[in-house]
Amino acid sequence: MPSAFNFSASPFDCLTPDEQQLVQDSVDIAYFPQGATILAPGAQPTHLFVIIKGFVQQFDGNDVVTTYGPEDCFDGRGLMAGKVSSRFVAAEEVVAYQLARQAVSDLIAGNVTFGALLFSDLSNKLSALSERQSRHELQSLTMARVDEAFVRTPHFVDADMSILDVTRQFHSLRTATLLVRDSQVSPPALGIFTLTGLQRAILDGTPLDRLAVRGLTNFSLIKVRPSDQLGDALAVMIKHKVHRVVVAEGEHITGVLEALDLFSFLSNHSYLINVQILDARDVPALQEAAGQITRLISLLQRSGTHINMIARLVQELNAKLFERAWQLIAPPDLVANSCLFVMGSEGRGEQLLKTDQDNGLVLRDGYEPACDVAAVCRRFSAALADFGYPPCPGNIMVSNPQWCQSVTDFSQTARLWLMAATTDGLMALAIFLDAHAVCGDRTLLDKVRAAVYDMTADNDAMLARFASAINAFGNSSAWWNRLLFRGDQGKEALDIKKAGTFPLVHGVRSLALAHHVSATSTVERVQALVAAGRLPEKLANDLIDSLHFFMGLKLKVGLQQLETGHAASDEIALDKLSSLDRDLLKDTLGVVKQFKALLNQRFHLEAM
Amino acid sequence: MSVFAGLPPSRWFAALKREWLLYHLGDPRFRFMWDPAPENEWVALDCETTGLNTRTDDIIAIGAVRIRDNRIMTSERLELLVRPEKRRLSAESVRVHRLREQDVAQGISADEAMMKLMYFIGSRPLVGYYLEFDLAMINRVLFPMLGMGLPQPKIEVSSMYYDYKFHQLPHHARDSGSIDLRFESLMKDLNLPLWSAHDALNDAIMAALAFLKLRQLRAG
Repeated sequence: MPSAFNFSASPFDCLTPDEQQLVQDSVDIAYFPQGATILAPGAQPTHLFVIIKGFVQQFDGNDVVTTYGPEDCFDGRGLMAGKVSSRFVAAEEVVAYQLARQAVSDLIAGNVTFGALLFSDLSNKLSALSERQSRHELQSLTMARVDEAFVRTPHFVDADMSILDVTRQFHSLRTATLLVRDSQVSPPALGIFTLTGLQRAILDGTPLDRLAVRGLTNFSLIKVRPSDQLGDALAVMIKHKVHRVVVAEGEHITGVLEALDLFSFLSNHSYLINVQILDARDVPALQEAAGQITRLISLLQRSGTHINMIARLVQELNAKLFERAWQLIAPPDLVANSCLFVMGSEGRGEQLLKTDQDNGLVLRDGYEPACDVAAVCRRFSAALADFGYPPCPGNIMVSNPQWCQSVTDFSQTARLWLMAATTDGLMALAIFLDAHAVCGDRTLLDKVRAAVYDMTADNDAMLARFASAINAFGNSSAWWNRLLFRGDQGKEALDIKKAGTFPLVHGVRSLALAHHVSATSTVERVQALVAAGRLPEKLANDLIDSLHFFMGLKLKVGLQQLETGHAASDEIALDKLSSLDRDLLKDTLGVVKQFKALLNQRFHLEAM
Repeated sequence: MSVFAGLPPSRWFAALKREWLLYHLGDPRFRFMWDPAPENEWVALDCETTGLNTRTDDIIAIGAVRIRDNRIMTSERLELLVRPEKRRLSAESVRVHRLREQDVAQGISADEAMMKLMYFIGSRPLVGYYLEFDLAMINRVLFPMLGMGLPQPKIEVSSMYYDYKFHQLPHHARDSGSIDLRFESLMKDLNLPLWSAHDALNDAIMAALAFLKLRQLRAG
């Protein structure tokens, strides 16, 4: 109810008490049974919906483009455009607030921050949608220039013009903003007159044809330059509590930037996290950004962004986060003479939700650090733990001396992994093969990797032993189970990692090792293997699709687990899947089976 | 008698009753409560009181909200704070509804509250959870003004819920099976959101939601 309207959720958390009252007085509660159409294309929207309970799906034709859950708003875009463009259906029984259109307009007009928040929430969804089509470079919104946004043509009137004529101008020019020139003062002054001023003019009482616009014009113009960044322009609006600024280069006025236009532009470029990471001056500031990453993933997932795009974005953001943290913690000469790298799913760029830290450090041969490297590494591992990356149970972290060595020592360690071929050794090797440099001199990592490839050349017995892990499940005594039995073991649920992701990823990794493919992501490895004629193209495409399906399913389940306060695990409750997901799961597990057959033949695993 | 000519007996009786009530209505200004109700509209209602005795305790707050089709019109709500006539607030009741002596002292008189409430309801059927209690409290104040209690049709959410649950029970369990009718259990079982209870308006809104859902379940 209104007294319980959640004003702590964005975008309503920035409202003043008066504005909160406006919301309370304008809000109704609607109930929709499952399957009800809430908005249909072409309808004229009358309300902004804020979901209290349930889920709503947005359809374009027969495709689901987005899902909205509790505290999400829809359809702000349709409301501002005056027309609904998609079908919104209650995927589950829905209870929602509906806020009258006039109230939303009033809030946006009176509170720039509210508009920004309303549209930035929308923006994550919209940008995700457009990404899916064009995959254009993710662009930080603050980097975009003012003149790249929709800047309106300026219209000038003379300060002597009567309010009545000014109103005629508003009408004929279809605008709500006029720039007013006063040439009777020296030097000539320039001001701005808006619809708000019109209200004051009417309240003034003087007949409007005898009231000059001069007296009601605001002559202290707030300007931005065309080359200014949009983020700064927004900051200026928020600071001065205005919703339009004049765009001017020196004295030359090129246009007017309206808050609403700014927001609609931002809706396609909203990745502030990157900037937040780069701007961080200390570790706590980074921690904030780390939290934002999970929120972003959840937003992107709900907006139906392709899983590959999310994974790439997350890998980049995580790499930036680790790099910045390492730069803040390690002294410059250590940064310059070492290479920090991440491994496992993080290294392959296939990690979505934060899992264990898997990272290491290679030092330049002969480098004698002036600092206590072990202490620096411990601080780094502790910082990552603060960011929400739990310590690795297998202790594969820079704070473990085994994962912090010189190039020569590291290569020597890798040789031992191979020669002894113990459980721990092969596990370490598998993880190391996915190493991806994030900071420092990456040629140091390349040297160790090259040494590993040299040692594995044509060692068929070793390769077979390495690849045999794909058959580990079903045989619980296999050494590989140690790698995978990290989470809970449920009897009824399917462990998607054991059944799907692991055999696929490890099979590709084994082939990559056998054929000296140096790429670290599964998709790149598959592509390289196809190019080298080592993998049939049809199977390769199926493998990539299957991998993405597993990642998507895991993310969906993981986010649900996080939302309900559980740790994300790999277990998928089969009865909770939609019939479409169950079908796809059957198909993708079939692909994995086919791939395992190929590997068994290639590495002669039947004999083992 | 000509008014009733040609009506079937049940309608005839209802019409007679209406005429009889109108004849006895003390104040003709309130005839509008007998008008035909607007299509698909209801009013959900809840009171907070100084205690649970309908003869000696007083109303201190009334929350009411109109329901139109599938919407709860919280933008057209009625929220009244009522000055109790005689009864002091018990510590126990203050603990429940969190309205203190100085809060209710700001309220309007019970008579004024009844006028506002009657105009707000109009001729719409009333919806509530354990409505009987609220109506007993209201009708006690209303009787001296009107010569009768609120005449609108009444819909009891807990009995709608009882019917719904009863029909879900297997036949053999219907005799022995007890149905938990506590408000919280009901809201939880219907998978509806619970807002902080014992605020008259919140309670009225939750009853309205339960009503909408139960209507849907009955139709489906």
